[in-house]
Amino acid sequence: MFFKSRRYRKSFLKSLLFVLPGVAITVAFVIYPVINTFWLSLHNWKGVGGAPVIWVGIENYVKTLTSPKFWNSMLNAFYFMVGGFVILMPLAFGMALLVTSKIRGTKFFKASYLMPVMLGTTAVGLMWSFMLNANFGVFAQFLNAIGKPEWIMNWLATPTVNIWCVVLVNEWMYAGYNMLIFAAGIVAIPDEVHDAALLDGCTGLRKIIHITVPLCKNMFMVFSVLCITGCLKAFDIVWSMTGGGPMDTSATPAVLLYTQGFQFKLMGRSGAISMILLILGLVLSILLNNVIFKQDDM
Amino acid sequence: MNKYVVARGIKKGAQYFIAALLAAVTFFPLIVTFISSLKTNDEILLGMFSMPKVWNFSNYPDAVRIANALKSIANSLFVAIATLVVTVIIAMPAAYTIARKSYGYLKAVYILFMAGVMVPVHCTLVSVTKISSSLGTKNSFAFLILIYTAFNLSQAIFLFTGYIASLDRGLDEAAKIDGCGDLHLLVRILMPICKPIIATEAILVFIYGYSELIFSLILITDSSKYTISRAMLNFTANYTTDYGPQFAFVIMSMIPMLIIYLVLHEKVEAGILAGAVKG
Amino acid sequence: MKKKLLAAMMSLAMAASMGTVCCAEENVDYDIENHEFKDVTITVHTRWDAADISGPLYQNMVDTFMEKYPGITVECINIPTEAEWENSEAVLMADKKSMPNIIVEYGGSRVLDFVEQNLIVDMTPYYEQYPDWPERFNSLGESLTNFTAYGYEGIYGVPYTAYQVMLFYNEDILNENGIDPASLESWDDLMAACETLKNNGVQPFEMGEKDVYRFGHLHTALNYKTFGCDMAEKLGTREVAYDGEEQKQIYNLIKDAVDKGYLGTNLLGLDDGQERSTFGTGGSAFLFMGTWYCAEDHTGQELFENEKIHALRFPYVNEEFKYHDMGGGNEAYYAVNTGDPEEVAASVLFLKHMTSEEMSNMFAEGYPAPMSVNVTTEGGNYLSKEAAEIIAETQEVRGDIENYDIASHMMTTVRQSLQSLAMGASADEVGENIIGLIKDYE
Repeated sequence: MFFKSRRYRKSFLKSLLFVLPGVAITVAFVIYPVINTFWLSLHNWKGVGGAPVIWVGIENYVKTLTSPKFWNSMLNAFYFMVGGFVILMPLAFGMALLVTSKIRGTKFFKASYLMPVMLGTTAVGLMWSFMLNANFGVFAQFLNAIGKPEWIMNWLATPTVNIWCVVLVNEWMYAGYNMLIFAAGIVAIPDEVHDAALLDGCTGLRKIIHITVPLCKNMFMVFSVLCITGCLKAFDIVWSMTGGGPMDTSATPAVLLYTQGFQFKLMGRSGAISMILLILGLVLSILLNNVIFKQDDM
Repeated sequence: MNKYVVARGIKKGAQYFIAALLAAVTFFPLIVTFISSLKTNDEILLGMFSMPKVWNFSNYPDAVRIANALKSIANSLFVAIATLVVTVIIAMPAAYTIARKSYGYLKAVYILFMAGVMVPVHCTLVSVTKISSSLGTKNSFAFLILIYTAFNLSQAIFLFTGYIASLDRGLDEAAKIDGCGDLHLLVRILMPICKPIIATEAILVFIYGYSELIFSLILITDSSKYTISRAMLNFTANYTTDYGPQFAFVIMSMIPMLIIYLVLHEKVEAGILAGAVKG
Repeated sequence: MKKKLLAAMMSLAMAASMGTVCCAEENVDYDIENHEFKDVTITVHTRWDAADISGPLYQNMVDTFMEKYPGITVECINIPTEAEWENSEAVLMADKKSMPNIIVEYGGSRVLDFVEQNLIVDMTPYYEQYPDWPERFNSLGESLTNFTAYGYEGIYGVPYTAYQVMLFYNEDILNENGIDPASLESWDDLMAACETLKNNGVQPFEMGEKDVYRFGHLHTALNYKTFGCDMAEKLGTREVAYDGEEQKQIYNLIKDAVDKGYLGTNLLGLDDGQERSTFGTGGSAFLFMGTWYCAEDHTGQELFENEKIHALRFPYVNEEFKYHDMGGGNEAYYAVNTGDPEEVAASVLFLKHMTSEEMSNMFAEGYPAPMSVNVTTEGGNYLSKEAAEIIAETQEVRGDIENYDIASHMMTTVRQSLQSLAMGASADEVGENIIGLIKDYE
C-alpha cells in the first residue's frame, strides 16, 4: 500500500493531464449539448427563441416509439447495418488482404479504392443520384442499350429499393476507408507468425481464417462499433441522395430527427429521437465490446 | 511441383483480376463525373454516359468563378489540416492512457468517448450555436476547428485505444526499464508504431474537415471564408441549376485530397518499414 | 389599402392604451433617416444567390446602402438552397443572441411562430413616420405582412417580389400536334390536349416532384380554380377538412393526370431544375411553374431566344373562378426584434432603402419578375411581359394554401402526403395521411 505514495500520485496526475484536454473538449461541445437535448426531450418547444418550453414528461418518447415513421426509419438503419456486416465488412477485409498481399501495384489499388471516400458525401450523393436517374442516368442508358428498358425503375423513389441503393452507395464509398482499418491490423501481425504458419503448411484461405482473422480481432471490434454507430447516425449520404423521401420511406433515424426538429419545429420530439439513438448505440457498442469481443487486456 | 506453380499462377491471376475489377468499380463513377464536367446542361440531361459533342472545358473556369473555387478549396484545406493535427495531438495521449493505465476513472472516460462517437450531430446544433454566439466566434476558423475536433476526437480515441491495446506490452516494459517517461514512450516509441492507424484516422478526419457542411453553414457566414461544401451550394440553388460546373467543381475539389493522400501514403509506408518493431 | 389603414389605426389605438404599462416603447426614435448611426452592424439572412442574375442586384443594394450610411455595416448570410437556408434560419432563430436582424420568409404560419413571440418588428409606426413609404406597396404582397387573421394587428415586414403560377407552353410542339393554345381555357381542355399529345408520343408535362413543392403548388392552384380563393381560409381554419369530399376531388384531379402519365415519366426522379431544363430544351410541351421562370437566366436556350415559349393563365376547373389564381407576394423581408434598438432602426432603414424607388426599379430592370413594390420600368423580356398581362387581369390571388393553416407543419405535411400520389396512393389515402399527421403533431 505504501507504494501508492508520491510516485503513484505523480503518475495519476500525469494520466489526468493526458486525458483532460480530450475530456474537456468533448464535454463542452458534445456532452453538454446532449444534456441540453435530453432536457428538451422532456419538453415541447417550437425552436424559436423566447417561445415557451412546456414540460411534457415522457410524452415525446411515447409518441416517438409509437410512430410508424420512427420504426420505418429504424428498419432503414437496420438495412444499413445488414449492408455493413454482410457487404462492407467482407469487401473491406478482402481489399485489405489484396493491398497487403505481394501482388504488384498495391499502391495504385490502395489509392483507387480510397478515392470514393475522398470525394466527400455531397459530391458522392450528387454523382450517384444523377447516375441512378431513370431518365438520363447511366444505368437507364445501359438497360436501354441492351434492350431491357422494362427493367428501368425509379430506383431512388421506390420504397425499400431506394434505401438499398443508398446502402450500396454507402458501401461503395466507405469500403476503401474500412480497408485501411483492416490493413492497419494486418500489417501489425508479426512476421514470425507468418513464417510459422508457412512452416506448418497453413496457407491461402486456411491461413486467413485461422491466423489473419483472429489476429485482427481488435480491428473487427473497431469496425463493428464504428459500423453500428455509423449506421444509426447515417445522415449525409441519405440526405444528399434522397433527402429521406419520398414520404420519409428512405429516412434514417438521424434524418427523421433533423426533419422533426428543423422542418416540423418539434424540438422535443427531435430530442427524444436523439436520446433513443444515443442510448441504443451505446448499449449495442458496450454489448459488442464485452460479450462478443471479450477483451482481457482492457 | 508444376501443379503447385500452376495453382499459384491461378491464384495470382485471380488476385489481380479481383483487384482490377474493384478498381474499375471505384473509378467508373469518377469517369462519368469527369465526362459530365465537360458537358453542357442539355447534354447531361440527354444521357450521362454519352461523350460530349464539344469538349467543353469552360465549365472549369465557370466553377472557379461561381464558387470562388480556389479560395474555398484553400479554406477547406486549412481547416481540414488544422483539425487533423489538433485531433491527433489530443487523442494520442488520451488513447495511450486509457489503453495502458488502470485507474478506475478511465473506464468512465472511455465510456464518455464511446458516447461521443454515438451523438447525432444535429441534436447539438442549437447548443453549439448558442455557445458560439456567447463567445462571439462568428466567422472564426479557430472555433470551427475546435468544433470539428470535438466531433472527431471520440472516434480517434476509440480507434487509437483499440490499436494500442492490441500492441504487445513488452515494448513499454522495455522502454520503462530504459528509463523512458510516459511522454517519451508515447512520442518516440508508440507514435511510430501507430502510424498506420494514425494515418487511417487522419484520412477520415481530413475528409470530414474538408467536406463538412452543417457547422460551416451556421458558423461561417463570410463568403471569403466559405469551405468547399458551402461554396457548392451556389450550384444547387433552386433557381439556377447548372450541372456542368458543379461536376467540374467536384473534380477540382478532389485533386488536393488525392495529392495529400499520395504524399501521406509514402510516409506511412516508410514509417511501417522504419518502425522495425512489429508487435 | 383600406385594410392596412384600419390595421394601422387599430394598432395605434392599442399602443396608446398600453402606453402607460410599457414605457420602453416611448423612447424609440422612428425617424430613422435622421438618426445617427455609429458602428452598427446588421445581419441579413437571405436566399440570395451570387450565381443567379439577381445576385449582383441584391449586392448592389447592400453596397449603395453602406455608402449612403457609413455608420452601418450590412453582413449577409446568403444561402441559396432551400433546405440549408431553412436549417440555418431555424438554428439562428432558436436563440436571441444569434438571431439575424433581417430575415427573408414567405409569410404564413412559419412567420407566425416568430410574430407570436414578438420577434418581428411591427412596421406601423415607421409607416406613420413616413406616410409615402407604405404607398410604395401594391396589394400583391399584403398577405405576407398581415396577420390579423391570427389576432395580430400591425404590419410585419416589407413584401418584395411577387409571382403567379402559370402554364407555359412550347409553341412548336402545340402547332405540330394541332393544338390551339387559345383553346386551352379549362382543365378539361388541358387534359384533352394532353391526351392528344400523349397519343402522338409527345410528353405533355415533365414535373419534378422530387422537390415536393410541385404537387403542393398544383394542389393549391387547382383548389382556387375549383372553389375560389376563399378555400384558403376555409381549409386553414379546418372548416373544410383535408379528407373531405372537396379535397378528395382535387387529389383525384391530380391522380387522374398522374395515372394517365400526363404529368411526367419520372415524377419522383426529377427535381424542379431538371423539370425546367427538360421543358426549355423541348422535352415536354407544357411547364407548370411560377413567373420566376420568366426572370431566370435563359441565355443559350434556343426555344427562348426564338420566342417559342409562351405563357397562359392556369386553366380553370370551375369557370366562375377563372380569374382566381395562385400567386401574390413571393417573399417578404422581416426586421427581427433582437432587443437592440440601434440594430432594429438600422434594419428598418435598410428595408426602406431596398424598397425605395431607385432600388426597386434597378432590381426590376435586371430581374423581370412581378413585384409587390410599385416599379416604373420598361425592362423585361417578352415572356415576362406576357406574364404581366395575365397578372393584370387576375382578380384574386392567394399563396400556398397550407400557409393559411394554424399549424406551421402543414406545408411539409400536405406536400409530403401529396407526393404519395406519384407512388400510386388513392385520394382517400392522401386525406387519411394528412389527418393522421395532424393528429400526431397536436
